[in-house]
Amino acid sequence: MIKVSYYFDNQTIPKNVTNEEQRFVLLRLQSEVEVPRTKLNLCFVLDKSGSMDGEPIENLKRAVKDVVDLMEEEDRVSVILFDSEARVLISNSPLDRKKEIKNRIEEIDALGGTCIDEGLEKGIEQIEVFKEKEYVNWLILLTDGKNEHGDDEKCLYLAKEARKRSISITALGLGKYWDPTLLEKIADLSSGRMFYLENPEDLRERFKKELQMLKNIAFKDLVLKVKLSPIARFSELNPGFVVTPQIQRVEPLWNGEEWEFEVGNMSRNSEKLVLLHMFLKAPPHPYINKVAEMTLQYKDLNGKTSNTESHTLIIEVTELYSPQINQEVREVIDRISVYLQQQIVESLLEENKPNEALTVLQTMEHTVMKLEDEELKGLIEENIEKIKEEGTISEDLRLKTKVQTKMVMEE
Amino acid sequence: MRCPVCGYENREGVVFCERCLASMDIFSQELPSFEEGVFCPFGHWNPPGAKFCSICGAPLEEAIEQIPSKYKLFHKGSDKTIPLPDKEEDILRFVIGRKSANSNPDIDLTDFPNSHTVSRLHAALVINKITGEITLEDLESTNGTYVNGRRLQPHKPKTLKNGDKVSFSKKLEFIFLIEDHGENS
Repeated sequence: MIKVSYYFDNQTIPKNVTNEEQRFVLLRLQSEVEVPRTKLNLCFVLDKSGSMDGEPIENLKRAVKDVVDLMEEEDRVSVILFDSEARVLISNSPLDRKKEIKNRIEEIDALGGTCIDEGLEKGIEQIEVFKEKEYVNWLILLTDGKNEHGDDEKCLYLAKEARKRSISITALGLGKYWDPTLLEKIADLSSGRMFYLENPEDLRERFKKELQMLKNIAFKDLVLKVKLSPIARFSELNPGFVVTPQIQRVEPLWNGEEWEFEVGNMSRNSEKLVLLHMFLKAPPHPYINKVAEMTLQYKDLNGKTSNTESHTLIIEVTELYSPQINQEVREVIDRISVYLQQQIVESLLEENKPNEALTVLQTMEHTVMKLEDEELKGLIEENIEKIKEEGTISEDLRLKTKVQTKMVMEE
Repeated sequence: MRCPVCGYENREGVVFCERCLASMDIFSQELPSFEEGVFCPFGHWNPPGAKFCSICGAPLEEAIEQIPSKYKLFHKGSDKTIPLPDKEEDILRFVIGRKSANSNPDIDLTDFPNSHTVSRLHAALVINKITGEITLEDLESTNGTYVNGRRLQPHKPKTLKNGDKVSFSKKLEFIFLIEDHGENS
């Protein structure tokens, strides 16, 4: 089962407020109790374009074969190859004839252009062939290029479709010529993940890690349902974020009665943080006021749908108001600010405004020093140095920084 | 309320920028020193007393004082300028030296090459705005103060004029400059 607890950044509100008050709610989701072994319905959607020739394609074949070796007989696997169009290499199959599957993978030859959406479309189709509610449905997309022969909008539509069908996508970018904005959206919209692979040699390790992560999933299709009281509304710009393992901005959908946030999957005995960002009007009651009611809906691997008990979020009106902020919530806000500000740095560099970008990077540096994140600090300092010297940053540093600011923890 | 980081125009009363979640009090509560510091012409913050922007290297003379200073020391080797900030006083006195635990000169030369040859309190530059006289006085420095290559006697002020070469020890030379702001503005 999953338990939910919550903290406000500040659960009090001053008497006689005139402006709307900004409040953050940090939700801590904790999964407990052993569940049966995770069964996987996994589809690889692999870029076999000409640029993958040589080292990349050889490493990719090895990486996929590693995963096939580590999968269980009752799991399902399918493989889609795409260049400027897509074809099914291995249709949705159980893993009872691994040797045959691996021989097919060995045949892959790198040639042609890049059309991600056709790959995704065929991948989703293959997962749909075998759809049992006890299975975790996942698609691993790998590309080393931009979607030159495809349609980005269609990719985003397909990522949303995937989520509707309980499919998540791990989007992997290899080398430095892929489009991080597109892959990030594909991952975020499908409650998946994204990673940057600097070298072809990184493929095998990343694929193994993905499989480990998948084998650990215990709950899927988590939906946070929130009924707001009349004094509360969500921020329009940034209504909410899944914080761990990667920062993902989430947009609520109105189901006619309440707001729904898709927050993805959870592993066995793990923890997930979600941050909600709202504005409160002057509360009508003198002491305690309801802000929202909230429950989490999720599915376990027996195919059962459950709901956590309903939580009532309250806020206290007080004359002795102090603007103190809960330290834990504060750290999460700070961490997300680094992620958002990195995107601002990117757009400032695109507009050729290096000095403005440096000012934002200085703030980010200060924040990560406070958060004691050494790795991120090193990267941000590298950004600052490069911009001072050359007025801009290299593509691989940009990719590395983007993915690192998004990554809060490795599962 | 404009976000100091991303420039987003926020509604009143937000604690964090709605767009980039930067703390809106970043320049006051969290970093009290930001209030005291100076901004370079490109908007980068620097600690108080900085002479050049640590980010872009722009000189900070304009930022240091409201009143633009027309007196400067120019270092040829690094192309850097030290402003001698104007104040609303008739006589301006600047002690030049090297900052340490027990010395706090008005002009700190630590960041310049060969600064180890500069004494902690090396020399004093005095600008008398009433008489218009500018003098440089050696404060018993170890390696001496030079004007146009001539070593000064300790505590015997020497008159300076625009373009004089002044050295604090033989190894660190500046050019004393007086700029006429009347023409520019």
